[in-house]
Amino acid sequence: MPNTSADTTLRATLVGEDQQNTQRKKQMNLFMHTVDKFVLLLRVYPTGHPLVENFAEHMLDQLKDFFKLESSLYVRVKATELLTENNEVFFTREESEREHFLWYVPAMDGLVSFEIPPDVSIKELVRFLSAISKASVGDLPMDDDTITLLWEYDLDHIKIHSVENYISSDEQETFGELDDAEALVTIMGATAKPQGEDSKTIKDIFEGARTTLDPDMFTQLQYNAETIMSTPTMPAQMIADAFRVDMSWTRELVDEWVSGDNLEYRLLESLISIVRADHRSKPAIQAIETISDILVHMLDNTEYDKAAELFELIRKREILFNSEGDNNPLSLMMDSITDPIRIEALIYQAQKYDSDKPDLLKLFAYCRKEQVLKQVLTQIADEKRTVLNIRTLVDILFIVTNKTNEMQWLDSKYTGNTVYFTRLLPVIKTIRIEDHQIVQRVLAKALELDHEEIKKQTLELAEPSWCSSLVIEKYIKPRMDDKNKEVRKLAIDAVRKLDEQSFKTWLHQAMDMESLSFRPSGEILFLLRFFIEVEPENINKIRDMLTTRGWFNEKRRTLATSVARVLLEHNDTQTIELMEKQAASLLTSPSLREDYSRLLKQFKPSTAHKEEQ
Amino acid sequence: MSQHSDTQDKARLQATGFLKENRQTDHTLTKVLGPKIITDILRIMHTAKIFGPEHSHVKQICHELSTSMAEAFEDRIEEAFTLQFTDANIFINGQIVKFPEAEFTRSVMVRSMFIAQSINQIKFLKGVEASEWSALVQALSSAEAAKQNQAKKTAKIASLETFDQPHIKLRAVSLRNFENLATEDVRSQIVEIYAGLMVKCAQYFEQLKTSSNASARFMKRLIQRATDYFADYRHVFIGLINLKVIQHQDFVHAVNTALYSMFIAQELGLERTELVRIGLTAITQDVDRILHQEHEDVQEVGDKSHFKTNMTSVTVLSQMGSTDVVSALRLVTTYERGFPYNKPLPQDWYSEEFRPHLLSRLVEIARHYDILIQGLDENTPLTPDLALQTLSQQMGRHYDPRLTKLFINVIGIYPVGEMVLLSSGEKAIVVKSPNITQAQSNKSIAHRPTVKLLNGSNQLIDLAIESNHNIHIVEIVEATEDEQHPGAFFFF
Repeated sequence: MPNTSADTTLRATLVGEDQQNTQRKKQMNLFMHTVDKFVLLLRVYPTGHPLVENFAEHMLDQLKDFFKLESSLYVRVKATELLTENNEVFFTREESEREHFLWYVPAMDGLVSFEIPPDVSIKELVRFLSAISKASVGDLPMDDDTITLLWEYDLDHIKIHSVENYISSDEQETFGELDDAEALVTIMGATAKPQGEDSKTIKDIFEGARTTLDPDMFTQLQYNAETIMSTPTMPAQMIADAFRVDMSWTRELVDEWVSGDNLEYRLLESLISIVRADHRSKPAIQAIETISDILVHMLDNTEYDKAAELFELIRKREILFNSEGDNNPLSLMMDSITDPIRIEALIYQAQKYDSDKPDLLKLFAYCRKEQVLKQVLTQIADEKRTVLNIRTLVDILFIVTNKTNEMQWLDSKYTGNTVYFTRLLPVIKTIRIEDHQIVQRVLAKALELDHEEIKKQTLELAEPSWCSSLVIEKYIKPRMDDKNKEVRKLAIDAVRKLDEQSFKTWLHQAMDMESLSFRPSGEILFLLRFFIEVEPENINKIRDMLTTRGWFNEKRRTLATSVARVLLEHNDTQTIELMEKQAASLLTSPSLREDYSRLLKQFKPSTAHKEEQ
Repeated sequence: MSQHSDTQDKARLQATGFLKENRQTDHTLTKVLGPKIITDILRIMHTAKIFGPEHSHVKQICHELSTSMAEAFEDRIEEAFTLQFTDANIFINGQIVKFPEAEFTRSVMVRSMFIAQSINQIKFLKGVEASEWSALVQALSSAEAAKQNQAKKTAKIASLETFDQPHIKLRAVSLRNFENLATEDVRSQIVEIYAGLMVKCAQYFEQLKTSSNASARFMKRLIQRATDYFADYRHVFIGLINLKVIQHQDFVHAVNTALYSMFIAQELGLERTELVRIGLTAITQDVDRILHQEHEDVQEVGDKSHFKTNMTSVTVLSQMGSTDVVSALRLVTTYERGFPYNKPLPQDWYSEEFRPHLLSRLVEIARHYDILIQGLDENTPLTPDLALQTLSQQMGRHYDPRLTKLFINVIGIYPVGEMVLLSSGEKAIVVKSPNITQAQSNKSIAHRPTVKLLNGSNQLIDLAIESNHNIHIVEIVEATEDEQHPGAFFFF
């Protein structure tokens, strides 16, 4: 038969369609390769990252040409290949550059097909592929698969078709001779026709069958109580009025849900109760492990506020197991969670992150105090260990210190290191010392050290709250004769402020010329001035020093001029006369004569003039 | 979602410090044993092919297989498992075996091996001996050799027909999956979901009794699907429940309780994923009674015995895991089960003063209502309207009054599915309750649902609208012997 033009047209059409089909498959193939790359990106970057978004945009661009010809991208999913709507393979496992075929697990989970429309948003495409990626990686929880995950991702445009992908198990006897599929169909039939054959089948299976409805005893009690009550039937109108719903209180109920309503707390209580029932039982051991798991997870995720609440709960409930002594299961669990390494980490976190500090302090209150105390004190006392925030460490110390363990602060393994004090003292300056007895004792200890800087800093902190008479007597007064003048000055000042009487007594003793002569001039001046200030008549005693024959000589020149100066400051005329006399006397050493003249000139210019004359 | 719920932000359980959606990984027999046993079977057959089925190498592998299978059964309560083959997949106890992708080809080979011999089911009982494995290998090898013979290509091989070992059973069964049930009809889909939930829940409960780890995955899928229909077809689910196709069964009670709980939650405006959590929690709220069949007799009723009873349940439940949200909710609701809403739980329960959790209070209403309408033992089940009124009497004492009111309005003062007598003298079926927002603003319509006449006309009458206010419901009536309940599709 000769070729007609119709044949030619048909042939051309078929060839054209073939070409279009090939082109379509090629585009879909290319798209899937891109999807493979995209999923790789998702493993590295989070959704929402610009790289992810841009790549997704690029993927959608790829489909633009495809959507010119097709109304949607329809893909059938098999374990090792993808097919078009017409069941033509366009992408296989062998072609995929990935080590694992992305669609294998979703296919196993029952994903039959998906359809992407042209108007799909980037966000939705990313969500869809991230669900596929997550499922593909495997290791999904027991009650989840690709399908349940996709449902949760709530896709608006992308259509999914899935099957249940299970088959009947003939092990079940609930529905008599019927397997699952038959049971399903029969029940459906019974609902559609309550008087039909299927309904009769169901009735035959279950009528007379033992009821398996077996609520707990208290539910039964409630049921019995309710059913024996006579229920007055109310007119419908009355019922409608009585049970009106006020939507404002539904918001309160929702708030309860959203707040979690202490779900974790309640869970822990229920688990602790399992332990209470029999702490040696397998469920109890598992419950302890679960509690531990929960708390560790919280700590790892820096949920310190919640962890603190739960720690508090555990500690409260610990007393329920007091009879177990050292084998208290909750205590043992807490010890394992708050091992030294964990504590070290928490101490570090508290120092580093101010925002976490309040919650961590709460947490430390429920840790083993001795252990925390020890770790913090060790850190402070070890100069090789960095302290990020000494104030925080001190705050921790206050939280964990109690009457039983406070003496650890004074343990020689800490106090023997000067760094212990050099670190603590600046902080102690900023706190209310009177509130912390142990700090007072630390300060007293600091004064014992032969370290000038420490002594100085400690003396600067002298105040009535911690400087008892014992402290003054034992620790501060000896410093009044310290070889370091600054220390001496601070000590003197401290005693003067803290115990005036004592100071006066000391002062009288100190006015001994022998002991005065070893002090520097500033100190002598201070003491002399104060001596007069305390009791004005002491001026006579001081004046008497000037008259001590042979005492004031070259060696004691400083003392002499200091005494003279102080007396002149008080306009003591007798002193002036005395000095004038001594300034003119050859029995007075030359330099001293000069000093006296100068002082006289300074304080009494007319006298000086007279002298010159 | 009902109208007033649209205006609320979708509410999600606050992200908890540790609870993930579900952290419990799959340790079911299917996951643990599935890929391994297929690899082992392939290995043994391959060795038999090279050395012959009687060879010592084969016997050695048989011995190893016997040992590894004994180990697999250890610490599990299963006494047996069934390997099933279809054209596309391999299943264990009805659950698909997911192979590591690299091993997928092996699964194809093993599948082909057995299906070629017209065997699609192998049951392994605990205690398989090495000799039984050896016998299986020999039978399969003979069958394969015989199949090479053209004359016997299509027949089932005698060696397999006579195969009979104490702990290995071969069968050819008729297997179906549910691909064929896919339908576009919304009515069928909804009915299928409800029926599917009952079947899957029954299966789940069976698995709980006989296996170490049962997966609720299929129930979750169905619950998710059901959630998608609540906005427009919630009333249909209520009607389906009221049809009472199956009664007095634990799985039915579980499904109904889950649905009721989800209805209340939906009305509160909780997010869809939250509805699924609540559904999964509620559907398993009595599983402890299934797992632990021996129940103690309580001598003295009071807080202490109540605590003890609940603790028995909690202890059993804790074995199912507790560090995911659903498990935690389940544990907590069981812990608090049956406690009146209006007083704080005593010190035995909590050191702080807590009233029962919202979900505990919600599930309490749902489960009690269902028990009332199902009836226990010889007690006659109550009609839905009476059951609601019974609940309402304990409102404020045992049940949270706000949740109870919400529940009553959700179910309907005249619940969907009830046959009623109208003031016009006609009989009708209630097909839809009034919208709660409407009922709230106009208090006189909560008892005025939409009904469909039973006179053959299928006429719908919305009693809430002004023009129908001349008609009201006189009472709920029972169908006479001549009358037939129209069935589920009537609700649409």
